[in-house]
Formats: sequence, C-alpha cells, structure tokens
Amino acid sequence: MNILLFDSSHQISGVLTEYFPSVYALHFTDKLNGKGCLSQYVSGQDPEQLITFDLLDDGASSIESWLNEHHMTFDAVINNLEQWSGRTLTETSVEQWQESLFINLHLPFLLVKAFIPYVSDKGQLIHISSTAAVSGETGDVSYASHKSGLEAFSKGLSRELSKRKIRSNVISISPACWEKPDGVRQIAQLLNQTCHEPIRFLNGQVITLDNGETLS
Amino acid sequence: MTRASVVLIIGGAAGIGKAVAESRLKKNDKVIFTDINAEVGNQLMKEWRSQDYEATFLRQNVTSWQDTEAVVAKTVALYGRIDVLIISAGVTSQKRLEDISEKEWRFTLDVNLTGLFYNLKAAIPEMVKHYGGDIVIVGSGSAITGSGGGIHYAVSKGGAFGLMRAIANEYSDQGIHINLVAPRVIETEMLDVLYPTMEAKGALRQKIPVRTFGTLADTTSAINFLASEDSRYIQAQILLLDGGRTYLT
Repeated sequence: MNILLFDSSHQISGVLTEYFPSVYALHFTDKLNGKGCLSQYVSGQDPEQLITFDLLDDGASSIESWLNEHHMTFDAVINNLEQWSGRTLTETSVEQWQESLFINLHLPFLLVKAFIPYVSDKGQLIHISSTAAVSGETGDVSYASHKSGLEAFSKGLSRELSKRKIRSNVISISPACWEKPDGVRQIAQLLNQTCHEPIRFLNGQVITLDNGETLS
Repeated sequence: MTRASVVLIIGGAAGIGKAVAESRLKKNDKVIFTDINAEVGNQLMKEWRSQDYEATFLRQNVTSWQDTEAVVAKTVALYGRIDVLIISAGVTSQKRLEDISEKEWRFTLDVNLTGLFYNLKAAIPEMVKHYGGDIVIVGSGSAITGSGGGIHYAVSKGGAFGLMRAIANEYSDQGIHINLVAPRVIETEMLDVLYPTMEAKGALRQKIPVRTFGTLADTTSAINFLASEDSRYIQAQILLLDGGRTYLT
C-alpha cells in the first residue's frame, strides 16, 4: 500500500510513518514558494530524498517525471497541509490572510491536480480539517474560513473523481483533540483504519473527531 | 417614522446586489453601491438619482485592499456610519478540475473569498463604533454540494461559511448581526453563464423539487429579512434558497 502525505512536518506525519511500512511525504523547504522535496520513509527509518520540486516555477513537472519513471501510484493521499495562527479579524493582516490561503487552499489545489493522475482507481483522498470550519471557534478567521473552503473542495473532488471511483473525505478534528495526551495517536489511528480498511460507500463526507464537543 | 438606514452593497451594479440596492432605495434608505464596472455603476447612479433616490456609486475592485478601505472611508465620510453591509460581489466559471488553471483558481478565490475578507475587515470596525449593524453575505449552495460553478467556485463560497462563523464568534457581543444566504439556481446573469441554453436550463429545472428557478425577488426578500430587526435572533446561519433541491433530491 502506497500512502502519500502532503506535509511531512505535520504532527501526525511522524506517527503515520510508524504505522505503514512505506510512506511517501512532501517535505517543504519553503512552503510559501511551493519548494521542497518528495521523500520516502521506510519502516520508520530516516527518510530518503527522492526528488526536489518547485511548484510555482516549474509546476509539478519534476514530480511527474519521477512518478512516471518509477510507475508510481498511490492508494491514499492525505492532505495534512495546514496553517493556524490564532489571529482575529482585526489582528489578521492582508499578508497573513494570503499566507493562510496559500497553505490551506492553494497548495492543496496544486498538489491534488499534480497527484490525481497517480492515485489508483478506487483510491482515496483524505483531508485534515477542523471543527472550526463549522463553528469558527478557534479565534483564527483565516483558518476557519480556509478549512470550510477545504471541506467544499473535498465535496467537489468526490463528485469529479467518482468516475474513477476515487473517494474524497474529510476528517474534521476539534482543537481540543490535538491537545489531549493521546490525541495525535487517536487521529493517526483513524487515518490508519481508513487507509487499511477503506469504506467504499464513504464519499464526500466529513467525519468529525471531537469527543462530542460540538454537541454543545 | 424609522430612520433611513445607510446600506453599503458590495457588487451592487448587477444581479442580486443590484436587486437589493433597488429594494433598499424604494424603502428610502441611503444606498452606497460598488462594482468593478464603473460605466454601469455610474449609469445606474444617474438613473436612480433621477428618481430622487439617494444612491451613490463607488468603483471597487474587491481584490484590492486599498480600494476596499477607500470605499468604507468614503461611506463613513458621507454618512458617518454603516448600518447594513451586503456583500454580493462574485465570479464563476463552469469548469472541471483538470481544466482550472492556477490563475483561474486564484482569481476566483481572490474575488469571492479574499474580497469578502477585505470588506468585512474594513467595515466591521466602523460598524462596531456605532453599536454594530446587519451583515448579509451572499454565498451559494455550491459550497454545500461541491457542485455548480466549478470546484473553485464551491471552495470560494465554502470559505465564506467558516469566515462568517468566525466573525460571529468574535463580534456577536458587539452588535454585529451576521448571516449568509445561499441561493442555488436563481435567475441571474450568472445562471446564464453556467447554463447558457434553454435545454440546459430545462434539464436543470427538472432537478428542482418546486420546478422553478428562484428569482431576484426571492433572494432580495431573504436578504432584507436577514438585514432587519425581524431576524435579530437569527445569528451565524446559512439560509439556503434552493426550491428544496439540496436536501430533497
């Protein structure tokens, strides 16, 4: 099973590389300019760098060449790119809004477009979102907005990719879940389960992991 | 006799924004409306003023923070306050994911989502100075379904949901009354862009349980209700105007 993570620096990435014998992950050296490398983690060992990329300058051509050359396909792509700043409306500058927009929405768009041809038929996309998309509760207007945009993105993808039976779902996590002692591991377990035992009828949905907090 | 409201309508020279502007002028409100198309906007202002309505047009590119700040500053300079803010500016193009270029993606999100953020960021501090006011965002049912207008359009309108809720969290206790209308298949210029032929429109109509498209009057009524005291206990909600299409089919 080939798994691709969009961001190796995200807090769930370390746990996921332990769960799967082989994980491919993007490591960004300059996220705001779309520069980084594609690496492979084998059995939780240090990653091996496979190819560098510059999404804004050369599109995804270096990645595509490498994937074609190695006949790569992915069974699951996990979009765990995100940026949270905790800034309110008045605290958020125009530049900070643009940064959040780029990381939370533009980069996932560019990467989904680049990698979709390499996702196997009946494969899946999983996007990490937040309950802030619905409740706006984090106090970060950019994050709440861009996560709700991401959820619409996933729904659109689920429709457009259904011809290839590729599914797209969202796992929405409450801010408190990330902070609990075993929170990251529980999130990773849900992703592990979703990847290992795919539910074919689950498509275009938002799965909420919040310990019941949103019931209030 | 109630005081005339100062109503700022972003994207008020066409479609839903224009219809709302006309309805507010008929209530004798003071309407400032903006659009990127200065020719159409100035012509409308002339027409409305000839009917003795208090209408002011300001050209605005919603993707420009400077333009947006200037619109709010001029409105406050003119009337001293903003009572009602309606944000209706938007663009769409029906395309599949593989056909959406990075440029088109960015443009759609810049107009529909960043433009929304700029207008809220510029106007809310002024509204709060005068004990708040009513804000209605014109969203879209596309954000709920992920369809209609292309995935870039759905994403840009989806982003409005979280932004609206975050602002409600921050400003509900400062008099900001904010909601979102989500029209789906309303007879506007945008519907003609998405469904250009009679056949396409006919097929679409069959998917709507009430078998008719929504009208500008339907949308205007909903917006004016949300921008009024009558809806004061409705806060941070998404009002779907879709003839039952989203949940009944």
